[in-house]
Amino acid sequence: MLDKAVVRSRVEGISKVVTIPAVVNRIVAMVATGTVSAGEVADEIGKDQVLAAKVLKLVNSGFYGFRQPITTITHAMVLLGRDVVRTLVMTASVIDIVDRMNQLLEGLWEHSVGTARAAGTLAQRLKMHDVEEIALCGLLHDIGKVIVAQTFPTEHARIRQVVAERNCLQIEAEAEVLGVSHAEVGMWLLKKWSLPPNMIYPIAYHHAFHPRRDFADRTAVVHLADILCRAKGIGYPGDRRLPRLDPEAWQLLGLDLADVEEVCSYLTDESVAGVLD
Amino acid sequence: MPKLPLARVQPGQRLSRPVKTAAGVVMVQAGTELTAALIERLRTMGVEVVAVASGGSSARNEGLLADQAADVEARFAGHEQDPWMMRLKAIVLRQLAGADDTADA
Repeated sequence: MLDKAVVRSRVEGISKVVTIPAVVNRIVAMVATGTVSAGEVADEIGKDQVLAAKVLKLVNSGFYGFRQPITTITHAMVLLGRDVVRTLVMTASVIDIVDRMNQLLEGLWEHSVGTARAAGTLAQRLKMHDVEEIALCGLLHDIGKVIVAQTFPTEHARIRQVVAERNCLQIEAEAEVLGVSHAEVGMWLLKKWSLPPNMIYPIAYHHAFHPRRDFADRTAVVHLADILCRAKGIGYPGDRRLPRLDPEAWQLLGLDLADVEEVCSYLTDESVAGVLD
Repeated sequence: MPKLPLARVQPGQRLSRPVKTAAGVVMVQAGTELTAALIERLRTMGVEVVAVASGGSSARNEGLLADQAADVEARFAGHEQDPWMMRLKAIVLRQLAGADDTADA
C-alpha cells in the first residue's frame, strides 16, 4: 500500500494542473472586499462570456422559481445578492472541471448533480443560509473519487474489483487498497483550491458525521442528500449498496419522513439531466 | 419496444429499457422521460440507440417495474433491521410505482 504522505503529495500536485480559473479567484476576492459595486462585479464576470452564460443558466435553472428569465448578471446580483452570485460563479467554473474528469467514472456526474439538487432542496426546507453553497458541496462531495481514478489508476482498478467481488461500499474498498478515503482525498484537493472550511468540512466528513464537529449541520445535509440520491438510483456513485443513515445526523436536522418523501419526489433522472449542463 | 437511433427520438418519449454502459452500469433508468436536455446529454455521452416505449399502454410494463423494484431491494440489502432505512425504501418503491402510473398520462 502507498504511504499516506505519498498519496497526499500526489493529490496536492494535481491542484497545480487543474485549477479554478483566475477570473473566479478575482471575483471571489472582489466580493469579499465588500466595497466593490454590484456593477463592477458583473462587469468582471461579463469579461468571460462563456462563464457568464453558465452562471445565468444556473440562475434560471429552477432552484429560485423566478417567473421571468434573468438575462443579465447585474440583474442576477440585484435579485440574489453578490454572495449567491459568487457561489454560482464558482459552481459554473467547477462544473467544467468536474465534468471533464467525470469521463473517467460513468454515472458519477449524474450522482453528483442529484446530490447537489437534494442538498440544495434540503437546505431550503431547513431555511439554512447559503443554500447555493451547500448545493455546491453536494456537487463536489465525491470529487475525491475522480482524483483517485486519475492519479492512482492501478489502485482505482483494484478498488473497483474489490467492490464488484464483495458488493461492499467504495470507502471500505478504498481503506483496504489505498489507505485513505475519497472524502479525505477530496478534502486535500479543495484545500489547495482555497475553498473555505465551511465547504471543505461537509465534503471531507460526509461519510464520517460527528455532531460536535464544525459545520455539522451542512455535513448532515450532504450526508443525507447522498443517501437519498443513491436510494432513488440517480446516476452511479461506484457502489450499489446504500451507506447507513447516521442517526445523529438525522437528529441534528430535525426533519421528518414527509420532508424526505417530498425531496425524493424531485430526484428523478429527468430533473437531473440538463439542470447544470 | 422499438430501438431508435437517438437522432430520431422525440422529446416526450420514454425509455422502455435503461441506458447502460458497456460494463452494465445503469446510467439512466427505464421509464425516464426523454426531455430535450436528456437527449442532448445522451448524445454527448456517445449513446447511439435507445429503446423507447411504443405507446401509453406498453409503458405500463409489469416486468419493467419488477426489474426496478429488484434494483431497489439490492440497494437496501443489509439494512433490514434499520427502521429508518426501511421507511426510506417504502418511499422509493411508492414513488417508483407512482411514476409508472404517470407514464400513461
